[in-house]
Amino acid sequence: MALKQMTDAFVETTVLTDYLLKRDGSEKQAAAAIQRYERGIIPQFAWKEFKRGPLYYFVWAHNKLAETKSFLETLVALQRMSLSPRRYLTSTAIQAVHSAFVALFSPHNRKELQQAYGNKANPDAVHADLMRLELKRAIYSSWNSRRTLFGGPYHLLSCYPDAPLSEAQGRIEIEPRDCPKHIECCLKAALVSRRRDLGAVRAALKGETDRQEAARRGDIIRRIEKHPTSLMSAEDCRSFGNAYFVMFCPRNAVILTTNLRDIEPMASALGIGAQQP
Amino acid sequence: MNTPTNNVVEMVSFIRRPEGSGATPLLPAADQYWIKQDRPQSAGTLNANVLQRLNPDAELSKFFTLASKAIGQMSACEEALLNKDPLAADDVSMASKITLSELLMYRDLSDAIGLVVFKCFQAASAVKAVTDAPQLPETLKRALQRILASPFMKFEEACDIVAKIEEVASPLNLPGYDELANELIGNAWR
Repeated sequence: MALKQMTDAFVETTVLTDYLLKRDGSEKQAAAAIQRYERGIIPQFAWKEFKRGPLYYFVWAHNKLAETKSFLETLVALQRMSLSPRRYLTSTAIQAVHSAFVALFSPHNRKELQQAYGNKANPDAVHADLMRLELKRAIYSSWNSRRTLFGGPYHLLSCYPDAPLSEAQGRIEIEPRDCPKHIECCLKAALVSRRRDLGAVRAALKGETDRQEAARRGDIIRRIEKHPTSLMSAEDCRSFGNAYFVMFCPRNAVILTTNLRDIEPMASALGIGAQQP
Repeated sequence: MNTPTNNVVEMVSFIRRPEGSGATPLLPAADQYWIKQDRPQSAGTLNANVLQRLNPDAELSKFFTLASKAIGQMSACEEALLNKDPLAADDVSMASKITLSELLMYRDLSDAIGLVVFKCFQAASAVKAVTDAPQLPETLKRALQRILASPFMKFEEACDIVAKIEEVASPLNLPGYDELANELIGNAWR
């Protein structure tokens, strides 16, 4: 595959997430990777996944900070979530983070402030509020950029209800995050017309069947191949996930992703390039 | 004297007037580069939410007093820099950090206030000597003037103001942001 001839970067959700939410240098790597190409292309599917996953996690943290008004309690709450095998901060790491904040935001007049303003001057409460504002800024700035970033979204999904965020009583409301249930996915017709490609992608997934996510993806692809009239639901579309970027990658584009492990085998099966920033 | 009537009168003076009425306290057009022109302003609208925030202690009027003090300090700092008096400029800059830290105590008034004041304080604290960032006093002054003119501006507008501050004083990393982001997004997403 002669990647040098590719002019466009097809931005996958992990790279979009780094670009929009990270501040540890990953965002610069993502930007630099996209800028190596003439054009960055962000499909609406990536925005959909972004809202359903990373943005939702940020909104959850924002709302938890608003509720607890404590940075430390919020981190403890986060640690108790066992939804997925995330990396957990140790108590020492949490304390180190908070100490760094206290050192940075330690005004000379803290004692006076605490006398005059009580809990409002408590370092944990200040840290919680400032973190909440920082998250809120990241949430709004990223989601509001979807209509303009790199020329706006590519390949609009007719079944996806793109909606702005809203606020009520200090909480950010993010729903709807997904397509309505029990309706036919708008991608299905295009997929049914490309059964040979679907077969190649499914074959590439065969070595991954020990992973639940890949196995589920393979099942859905097989169903579309064998039973093209059966319903492809919103849930099926979610599980189809990474295969979208392979099946709908534009000509002259390379897929930019940090998830090469999942995407590269499928992309190779169709002769599409995949790169990490 | 702080009475409910005084509070309402105080708020009324912050209702945004139509462009060209001649009575608006906004900055000259050339100085309004903070504002995205294609976005309608909701600044200073007197509504139930605002009235709810007015308490007997008139927090808003205390905020205005402190913000005005900080703006004065930024002006004095700018002037000292123009007069090639870096020691005086730095001294005023140090004093302004104390004012900004107290302004942070009014962050509950609105998220726009909280965000702008927080970034002003963070930017001012990040500077070791004011001569390292001579544009900062003017940038912070403009940011504070905007929030003083429209304390209940849209949050998105506050984000634009903060982006301008970070252009001058970048990077402004909040301790814990990277750790929290990694924890939230994590490897499970990868």
